[in-house]
Amino acid sequence: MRVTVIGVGTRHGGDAAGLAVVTALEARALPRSVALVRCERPLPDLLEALAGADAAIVVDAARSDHAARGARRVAPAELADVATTSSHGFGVARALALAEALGRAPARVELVAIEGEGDADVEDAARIVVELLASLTAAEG
Amino acid sequence: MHEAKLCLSLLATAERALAEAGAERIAAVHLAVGALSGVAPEALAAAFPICAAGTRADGAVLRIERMPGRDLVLRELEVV
Amino acid sequence: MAEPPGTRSARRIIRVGAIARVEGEGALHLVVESGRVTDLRLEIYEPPRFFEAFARGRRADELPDLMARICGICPVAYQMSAVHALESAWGVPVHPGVRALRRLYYAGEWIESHLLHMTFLAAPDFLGLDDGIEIARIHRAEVERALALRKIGNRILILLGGRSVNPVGVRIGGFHRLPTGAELQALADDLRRARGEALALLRWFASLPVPSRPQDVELVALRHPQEYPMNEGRVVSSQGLDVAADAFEDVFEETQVEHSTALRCRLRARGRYLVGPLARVSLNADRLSPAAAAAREELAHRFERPDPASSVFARGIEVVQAIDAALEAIVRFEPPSPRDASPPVSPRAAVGRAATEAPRGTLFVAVETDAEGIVQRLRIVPPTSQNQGQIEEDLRALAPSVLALSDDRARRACEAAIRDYDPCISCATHFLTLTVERRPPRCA
Repeated sequence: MRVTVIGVGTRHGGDAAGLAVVTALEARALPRSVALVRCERPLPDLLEALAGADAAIVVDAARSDHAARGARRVAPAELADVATTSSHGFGVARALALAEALGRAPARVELVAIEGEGDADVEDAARIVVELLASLTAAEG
Repeated sequence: MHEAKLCLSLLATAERALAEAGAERIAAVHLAVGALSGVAPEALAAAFPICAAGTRADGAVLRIERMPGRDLVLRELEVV
Repeated sequence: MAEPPGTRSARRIIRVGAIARVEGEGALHLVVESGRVTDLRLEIYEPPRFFEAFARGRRADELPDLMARICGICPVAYQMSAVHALESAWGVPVHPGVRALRRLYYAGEWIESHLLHMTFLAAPDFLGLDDGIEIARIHRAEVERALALRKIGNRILILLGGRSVNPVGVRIGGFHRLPTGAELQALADDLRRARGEALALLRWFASLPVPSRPQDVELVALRHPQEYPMNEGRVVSSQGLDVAADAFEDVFEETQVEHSTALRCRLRARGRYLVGPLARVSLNADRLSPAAAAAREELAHRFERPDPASSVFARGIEVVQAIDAALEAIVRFEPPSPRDASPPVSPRAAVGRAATEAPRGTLFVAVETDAEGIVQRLRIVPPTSQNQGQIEEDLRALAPSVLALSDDRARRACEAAIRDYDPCISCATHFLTLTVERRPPRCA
């Protein structure tokens, strides 16, 4: 199963967390079927990154009402409630919806939101991604 | 990057409140920024002194509190 | 609660609790009396005064980076206008090869910006769809075509700017990194294929029910002796204006709009005017490439009178033009050497001015530096604030027909009209808060 992990962010301040997670994952020995991609603009980069994958894990810096720091999985229905820090217009939610409308979205798309900005939060997100990867390959089993 | 516009709008509200209170100048501004408001507190803090320069809030201390929700609230002013 | 005179002032706390709404960045307020719109107030744009203030005291070589952050969709025009102004102030020579690469750079931005607007903002309006997601579902092939074309624009920005978000590749006098011959050739091959795609997309737009709202307005754009204008030229108009970019501040003036943070830019002599693709195409039709000119001919009836609703066609024509301008830049010019692209730069105490064509229209920048190259003053006049007066006039004419509609449809109709001008904030599908104040008829 080809899985693409996409870290969304720009290289400024807290918005870089998604990119930092990709860096953290690059340091681990992930299976060759896993692609790691950095995405600076949801449109067009996210659309491109989703192509050719059986499943995708999208990691982005976000803020929600939850008091929790660190990182957590976000259900697609929650996406509207989680304000991502993308620049105006095409945020992750819209880019994903567009990918789906164009028939470009993989069968399974998982979302991970990082709420904090520190190394611990990035590690937390990386851990969640690795767990997701394990469960995706196990399901394929 | 709308923090500048927000600053200007908040300062306009603050000046009206200042006038109503019959005070001279604003010494501190206390804002609450909602987590879902899309406002970056750092950008607000950077824009504020520039927007306040030359107004009755020139030199005012800016205090930002984070809160849940989508709003940006001018909570209170410290005036002289 | 004023302190009695003579009392030492004490600090006190005033509770305010005022909420500043962040969503709905634009506001349109109509006053209606006896079925007529008697007042109209439009707020859709915040001029980059923050940047003008922020730049003071900074080194001029920080400006390219700073300016690129003003607009996420058109960083190139802001960045380059400042660079041109500085080069003018300091007498920095620009190599012809660098000049050609800059036209390529602009072409990339025009392609990206125009296609984004046409596909995700304009087309949904014409088709009565809610947004770009719906249009992708219903007209997938066209959206895919537009996205593929946008990719080329994006590639150009990354090639010359280093990245498409906050591009950093630009320096005073040239670029930090030059594209290789192989990169340029690969790009040229894709551009040649892209021309046909851009024409096909334009033809699709021509088949859509695009409304018509002709108006009388003076058109303003740059004009160049040989080229379709991007980053060089004199400032001309449909009413005979013809001045050097340096004279911008003499001919145009900005005034503060009452009750608003916006600035209104007007022609000192005549007032309201329009900049943007429609103005450019109309004033420079004879400078279009053969393919772009032919496309314009097919749509000539849409350009007989200035019609903001025809802007979408002007954008489509400019995508074809940008592709051809990009090709020309690659094919006709010798790539500069690293030395050519990094000329010696010595700051001067001077003022420099420049006008270039952002996707949305003419953008004017004036910058003053001291002998050490520290910015003393920066002035930015963006295209959207120049169009403010005309947008209001357009809405004034439109308003009566809108009053009869439901609130939601009235708002959408106004948004669609404003979107024709491609103002910076129309990225959000629903950006407008429309309020209508109905005043009772005055007693005789």
